[in-house]
Amino acid sequence: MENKNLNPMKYAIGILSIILFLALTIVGYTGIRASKEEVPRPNITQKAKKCLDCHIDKGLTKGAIRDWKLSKHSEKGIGCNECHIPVKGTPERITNMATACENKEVRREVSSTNCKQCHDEKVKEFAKGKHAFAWSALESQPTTHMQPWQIMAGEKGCGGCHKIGRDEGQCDSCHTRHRFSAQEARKPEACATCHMGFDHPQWEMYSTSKHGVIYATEGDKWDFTKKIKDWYKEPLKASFSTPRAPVCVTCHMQEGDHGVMTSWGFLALRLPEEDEEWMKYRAKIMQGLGVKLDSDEGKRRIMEMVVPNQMARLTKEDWQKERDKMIKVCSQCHGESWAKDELKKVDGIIKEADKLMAEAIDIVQGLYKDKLLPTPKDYPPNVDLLRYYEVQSEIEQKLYFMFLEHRMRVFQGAFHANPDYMHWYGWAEMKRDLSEIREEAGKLRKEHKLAAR
Amino acid sequence: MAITIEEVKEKSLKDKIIDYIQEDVPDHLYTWPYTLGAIPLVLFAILLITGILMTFYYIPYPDRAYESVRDITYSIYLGWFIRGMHKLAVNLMILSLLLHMVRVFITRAYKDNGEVKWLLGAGIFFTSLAFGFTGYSLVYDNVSYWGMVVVTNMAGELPVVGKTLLLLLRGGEEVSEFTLIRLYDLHTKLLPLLIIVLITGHILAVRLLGFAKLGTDLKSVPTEGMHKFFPEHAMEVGLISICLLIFIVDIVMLFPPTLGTAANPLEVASNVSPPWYFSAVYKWITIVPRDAGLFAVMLFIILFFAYPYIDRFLSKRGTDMWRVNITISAAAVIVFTILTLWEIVRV
Amino acid sequence: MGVIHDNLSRRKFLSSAFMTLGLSFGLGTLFIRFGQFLTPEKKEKRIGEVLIGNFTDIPDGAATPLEISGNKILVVRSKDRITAFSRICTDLGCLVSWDAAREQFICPCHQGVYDKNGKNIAGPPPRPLDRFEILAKGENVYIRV
Repeated sequence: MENKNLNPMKYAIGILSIILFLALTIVGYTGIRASKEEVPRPNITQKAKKCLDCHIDKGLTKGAIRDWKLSKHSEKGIGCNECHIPVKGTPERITNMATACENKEVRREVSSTNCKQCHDEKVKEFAKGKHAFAWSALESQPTTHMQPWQIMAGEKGCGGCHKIGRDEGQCDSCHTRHRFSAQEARKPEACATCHMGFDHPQWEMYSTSKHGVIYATEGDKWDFTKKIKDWYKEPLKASFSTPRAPVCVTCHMQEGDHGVMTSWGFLALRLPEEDEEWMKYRAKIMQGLGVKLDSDEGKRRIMEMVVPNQMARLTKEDWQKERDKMIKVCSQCHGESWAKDELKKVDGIIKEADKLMAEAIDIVQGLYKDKLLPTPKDYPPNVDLLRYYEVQSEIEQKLYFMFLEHRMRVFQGAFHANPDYMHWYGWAEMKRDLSEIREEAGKLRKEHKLAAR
Repeated sequence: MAITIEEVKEKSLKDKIIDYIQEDVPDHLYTWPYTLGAIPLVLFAILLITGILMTFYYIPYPDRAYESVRDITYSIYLGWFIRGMHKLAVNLMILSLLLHMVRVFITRAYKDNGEVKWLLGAGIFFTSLAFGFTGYSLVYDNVSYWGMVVVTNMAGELPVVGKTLLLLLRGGEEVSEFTLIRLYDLHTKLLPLLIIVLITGHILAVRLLGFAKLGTDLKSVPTEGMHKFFPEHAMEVGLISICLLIFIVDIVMLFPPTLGTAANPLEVASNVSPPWYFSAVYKWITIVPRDAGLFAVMLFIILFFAYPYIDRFLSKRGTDMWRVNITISAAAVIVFTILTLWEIVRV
Repeated sequence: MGVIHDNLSRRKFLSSAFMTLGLSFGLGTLFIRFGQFLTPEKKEKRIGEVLIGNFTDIPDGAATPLEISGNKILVVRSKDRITAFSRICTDLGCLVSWDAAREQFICPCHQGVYDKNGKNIAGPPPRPLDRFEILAKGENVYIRV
């Protein structure tokens, strides 16, 4: 047996080893980053497949399908039909809708009765809170139906936000469809779409407050995948991923409770009131809102608007319960007595703002009484702040701005820890409104006197 | 004839050792299908070394396990490289073992009194699968945890020995820290011992019993060339090993190892699935009624081990085992591939 | 007949040498990488000045034990001088303790003895105890770790 010539092989081994050496050199300079979030694997059931096949075929709702594939629903095999085929108890508005789908049971819109099948607890919590009353509150307002339907029922304007209370509740308002990400809903931006602007600029106030600034600068490190009740589970554990400042849900959805409610509410009114002086102011404001017992419309407003939609806390216990809940939240970070004092301070400033408001309402009401303001046919002969902008004279527009824009900012700014908003966009404006209303009223009276001569 | 100097000179130690292990090796071993024996061996060596390296950092206690694997993957210098090589080598080793088994089966290399080679080899294969399972569980991510639960449950389903086996594996009724440390013990001490014994036995068996002759019984056996094991064949193996190393190093750099989410005993991961080499069996058990499926798997394992004897028995009765084996292996490969792909794609 | 310089053994030597060189680079680097994996980097953690307390807080004549981010320290005050000694014995790393009666540092492992200035006076310790820098800012005493 001849010895095979091994030289070529040895050279081959040598060269390949050098290549290995080069590869290993590069290895020394390589590092890897933590991998990106893995897209969950959707579990497509037979029923869902039917919907998907046709929709994909026809090129429909591609966004919805993409989003759904990212959702926990798809991971757990919850497909199109579980939500889009209404279950028993779904409001008629949806069941009466027409559908373009071949399956005539399918509806485009979904009510929370479907969500309740699995999310029973959360739907029940939601039903107890203000969001659930948003639609009926809108409908029960007197001037709602004076505006073009597109703004209200068409959901392009007021309806676009108040729809959260439509059809037993629209769960996609905060954790949007079809991804339904709880993480999304916990962040303050989820609230910003509706809780911003003219009469309730909470987003603007919060985001420039100290709390909001801390969120803006550090919030990207906070762990929003955690359930709210677990955020401060270990209250003394220091971690960069624990929120260092509150976001909207911290205070307004304590422990993840979907029944959003506050002690003062949107109108900053409550009953009963121990402070007699304050009660006088409040009574004037309630009069200005047309909420009174001595007229049919007034009674209607109380029974059909204020009470069922929980527009104000009407017992001491209810008010105190919400206040105590808030103090408990503040105490997650602050001292309890400090929290109590701060909130009490805001209570005090509401009284001051109410004083200004009451005076303004009084002045304008006086003009009505003396028939100095134009009142067309369907016009009630008194101040009605719920007419919003459906008023004839400038002074009434000013009054409505004073109530709905400026008074709002006084207490909302104070509660959301934004001193600038509270003062310059709230209190200062109210003062200006009052002085302008006084001057305007004076002018009207003078004109009337001159005309009478 | 004159006596040469070489014959008279005392041989050096190196030459003595070489003489001892020297063997003439048939030339057909130079062909590609026959490299499938050395490849798993090289891969095993890589697994052994990278595995030992990782034991310097790994902590076999539930939460710490995941953290230590995470540290190895993302924090420790070159940790990703060692872990990546380990993972890739596992997959390549099982793949090459499967291909090796197919080659051995088609060429009926267990014949000519070579049954022991087959038995030891089968032992190596199943031990490798056990390695795969235990190693996968040590990561303690969500897929590991639920994989542990499912597999130990399956072990518990076996008749007679099931319950005991389940308790043995789990170290209790439930999957706990005891389960983890037992699987760790298996993976780093007992199974390596077992497989090293089996591999040594397997190589010795081949060395001592020789290679089965090529060619069917009907065709005339062609006389083929032989070459020396050392240095010729050894160099070939060396060359292949270096190529394998380059391949592994490059692939690990291109596709570094990943890590799933931490184990959550309260929620099953949606993407719980066994590693690909278990997918076929997993799929089989899900589509066939449970008891029948498990029974079929056990029967398969028994037949698998006993096959050389079945071959011998049937050959004596005149069956053309060459055709039989080719048919069986073709069918097995097709079924395995279909079941595996079906499980992985999972539409 | 000319001399044919076709030396089989030289060709063999060359190819073997090349192979060995290549292998040592290739496999050598591989084992170097393994070694690097096993040896973690040492992280020097400098904290800076840490406040121990007021001058009057540190008892005279006694040694106050402290632990600051892993450093075990004995702070000794005699009249107005404050010194901070590392408790790590310079022999083989056991921790020394202060014997107030004899005014000495004693190491229990091999009976090393240091005097009140940290100088090694008996036993195996090869050099005095290490010290940490002490600073005073007004009445306050700081240690640098």
